[in-house]
Amino acid sequence: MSVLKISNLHAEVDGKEILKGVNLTISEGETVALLGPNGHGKSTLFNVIMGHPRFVVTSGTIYFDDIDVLALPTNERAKLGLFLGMQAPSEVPGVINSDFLKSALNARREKPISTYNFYKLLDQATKELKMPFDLATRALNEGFSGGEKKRNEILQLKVLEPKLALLDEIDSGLDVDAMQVVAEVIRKEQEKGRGFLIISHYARLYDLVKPTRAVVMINGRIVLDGGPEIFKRIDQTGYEFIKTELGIEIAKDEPNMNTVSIGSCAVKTGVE
Amino acid sequence: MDRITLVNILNIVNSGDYFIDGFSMSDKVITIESEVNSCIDLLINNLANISELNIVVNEGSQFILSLLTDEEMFKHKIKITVKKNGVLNGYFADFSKAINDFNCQIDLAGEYANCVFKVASLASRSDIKKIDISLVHNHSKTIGRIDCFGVCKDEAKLTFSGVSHIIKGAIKSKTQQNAKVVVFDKASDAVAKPNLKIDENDIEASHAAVVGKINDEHLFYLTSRGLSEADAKELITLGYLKPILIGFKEDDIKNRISSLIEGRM
Repeated sequence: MSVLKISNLHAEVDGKEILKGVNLTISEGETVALLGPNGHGKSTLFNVIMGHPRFVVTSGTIYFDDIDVLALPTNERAKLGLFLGMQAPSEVPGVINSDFLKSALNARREKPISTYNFYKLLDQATKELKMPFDLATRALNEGFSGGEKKRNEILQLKVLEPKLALLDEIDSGLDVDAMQVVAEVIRKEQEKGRGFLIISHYARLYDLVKPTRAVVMINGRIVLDGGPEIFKRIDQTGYEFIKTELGIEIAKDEPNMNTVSIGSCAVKTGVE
Repeated sequence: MDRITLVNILNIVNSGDYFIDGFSMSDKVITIESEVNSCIDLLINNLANISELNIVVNEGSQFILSLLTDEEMFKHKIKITVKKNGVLNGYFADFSKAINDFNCQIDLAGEYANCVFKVASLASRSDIKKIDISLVHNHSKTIGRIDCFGVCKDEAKLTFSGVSHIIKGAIKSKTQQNAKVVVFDKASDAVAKPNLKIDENDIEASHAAVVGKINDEHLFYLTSRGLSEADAKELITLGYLKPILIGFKEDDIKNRISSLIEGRM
């Protein structure tokens, strides 16, 4: 059984520490809701797991199937069976969606998939996601609507068949019907034994995919780990109980101020 | 002046719709003028024998001009005039080597004249390439768009330049100039200078220039799906150049361009 084990993970971005000792274990087949206010490290955790070069791990470990994930480049992490469904997928001009997907699929196969079998697979997956097939033949995410980008992430998940999928606000940009379609695909993937760690700010997606566990990240640490009742409570009352019941002060998400001086005011100088 | 067969022209659709004037091996100048309301599809798969090409897209006619070059050392001058309601779709796939200079002047000379010109250029080793495509909106309601995409590696130098000029009185005209170059190595040198010269108020104009290395977010996105960094870079680079294939209908030419890209990458 595949297990992702994160121990005492510290990471920073641009010199600022975001993750301050994350401990989390997820087993294959589990669906875990990752909750927390904005700016507390949820997306950072996902990016660190996948090896985004902007995020620097200062201490701690991540093991998947007893393999040291942090020692591997990003593509090898993907080949281990990790998948990141991104919050804001990049638009990559000129790279055709289907060419990219075929290359990604072949990267994890010993023998390249035949063109016929690939298009059969793609056709099936696009139909299931109710995506027009022409999206697969267009440049990767270029000119896609927000909802189309998110469906495209799920399309990749379906085709690449990871062991554990990290989905970062996959429901943002989806209308009600699209959310149903995406949730249905996730449910089918759950039945195949795939694990999920899902960030969402809304209970609707969680209601549809029914997580088996919920964990809450505050101030760069996992502070609560429990059953699905947690996300229902947060949806109804917010994060206030974390402070009142657990005594944890929730740091405010404050944007960094620009420290560059623009010098003296030209108008003021002129008046003087 | 000797009249000779245009051995380099592979494909002309509607052969009755064109005439050729003033072409000889000595001056290497070709003029091709479409008849009114005609349709021409012209492929020149090796520009080596032509130093100057004059294209006249007559009223109401549509002209598809596809140029491919992979020779060493050239200097080309192309002059295109698009008359009223004429449409020119130009494609230039440049895989030449060494020192090259490509200059194209487009004149939108009649109302509703429309021109879209796309370039894909690969500069490697010690190539020095200058590609200048300029466009003048000489009449109202004309539309022009120039897209130049390039890849620059090793010690090569690649310059995209051009001026889109909307003259006084060319009201309701629309113009767009884009130049993007991805640079691979520290010794590579790329310049993108898409300029606008606007002498009229009631128009739409935009330009964009990008010169830089491969976007880290793009690279992360592709590698996060299992592609190695080298494969991801190759895919992104091909993405800059391969869209030019849309301008070439023949499978053997498409294959030749693909081989040129892959071979030189």
